[in-house]
Amino acid sequence: MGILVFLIGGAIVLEAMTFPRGAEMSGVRNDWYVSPALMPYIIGSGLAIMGIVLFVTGLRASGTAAIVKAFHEVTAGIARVGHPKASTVRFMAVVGVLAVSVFLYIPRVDFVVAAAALLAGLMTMFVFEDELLLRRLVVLWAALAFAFFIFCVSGLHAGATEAYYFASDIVGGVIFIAYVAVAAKLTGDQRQMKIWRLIALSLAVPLVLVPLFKYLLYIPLPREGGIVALMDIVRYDILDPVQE
Amino acid sequence: MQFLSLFGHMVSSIGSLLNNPLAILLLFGSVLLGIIFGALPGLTATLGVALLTTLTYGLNPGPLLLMENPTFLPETGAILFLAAAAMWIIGIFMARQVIKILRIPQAILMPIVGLLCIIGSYSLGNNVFNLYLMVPVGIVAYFLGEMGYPIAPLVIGLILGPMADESLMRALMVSNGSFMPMFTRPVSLMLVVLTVLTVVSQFPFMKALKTRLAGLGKAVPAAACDEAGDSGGAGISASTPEPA
Repeated sequence: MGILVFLIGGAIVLEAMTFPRGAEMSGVRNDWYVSPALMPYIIGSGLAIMGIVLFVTGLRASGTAAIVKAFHEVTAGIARVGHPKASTVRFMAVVGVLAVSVFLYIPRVDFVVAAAALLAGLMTMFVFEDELLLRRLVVLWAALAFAFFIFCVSGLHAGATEAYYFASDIVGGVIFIAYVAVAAKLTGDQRQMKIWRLIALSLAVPLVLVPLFKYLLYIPLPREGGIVALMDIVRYDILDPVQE
Repeated sequence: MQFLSLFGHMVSSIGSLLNNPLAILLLFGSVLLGIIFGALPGLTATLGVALLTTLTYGLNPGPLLLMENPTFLPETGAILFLAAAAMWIIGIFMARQVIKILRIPQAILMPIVGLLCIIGSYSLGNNVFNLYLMVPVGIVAYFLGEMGYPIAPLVIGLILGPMADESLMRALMVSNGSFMPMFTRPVSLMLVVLTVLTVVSQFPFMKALKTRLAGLGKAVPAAACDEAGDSGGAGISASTPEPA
């Protein structure tokens, strides 16, 4: 933890070094103490020093044996990459689904579709408490996320969105349907009813939350694509048409 | 067993507190007085965050609060009255229904909470960067929580950080870039000393020193008693009046 705190402090200091400092701020000559980098420097250096203190304290308390043990745990973890423990799979599933949704889907796909994919992913993975199913669904989710990642980095996403604004929503929708279809098949016949109920719930929740936040609380969404555009039509053209 | 008895005592204390409306009134009254007059009653970390609400809205807690914002107190009173009325209505009509939320399996409830977290962090500044920050901060906070680090200081830092940045820059502009006023003004000096003492007191050498000093404190009276015993108890009998 000491090393982590030190790294975070160091990263803050490095980032602060890119901030304008007194002399050249906005092209106007200024004193050093009006620089926005001042506080990050203080916080970052404080964190780095405290990280070192924490590391040294931990080292003194536990001795070098603790470092050797931690090293062995890390190497054992790396050796188990192909066969992770159940707790590791659960943790990676939660973090992976959230990270993929936040970094990949939500900024590029309509929020309703991205939110439905997130909910469907997490609910189907954890509701049955079946470790084998969880592992299979994690692999399926990762494969579909990788496909979407390739779609984005290959430049297809930019080109398709430029040609047709809702193109990435369609791709996101296809990925969601693919996940749902394969997940339903993997779950087995006995649990079909439950999984379709879960999928209906994962669609219903964003369909309730999005209008609530967008039209009642006036909070815009990260990406308002095809589904939100349809909601706009319902809200502004059908339910409450603007009087000319 | 000691832990269990302590836990039992704690539960019974909380139970007696909840059975005593006057105690609750006094508790919230003290927090409210803290918010209005800037006093610091015995607070938990959560109530400490509540104390900072005035600062986040640009109000200065303390006696000047009522002079600068004469409507603050009646408004707060009215809000509290309305809140009490609303809580009564909700408690009477909705408590039985709302408690059913707890019966929803965690595998369904937690993804929905996660989705609300995503919308919430995006709505803070309508900025996708907030989302990008949410995932790593959540992971780090999870590990910090697992290792027993309190999260409340992190929350307080989040609230006080921008204010500290602004105030430091203003103070340096007033003093032409000199840090000396922090050490020459009594209030700021006291705060600096308290901060340094708080940090230093956590170092192992300081803890060892404290233990040694406590040991000396216990050893001195014991030695004094031994000496008194060696001299035939004259030291005690000389100062103790003879019974009539």
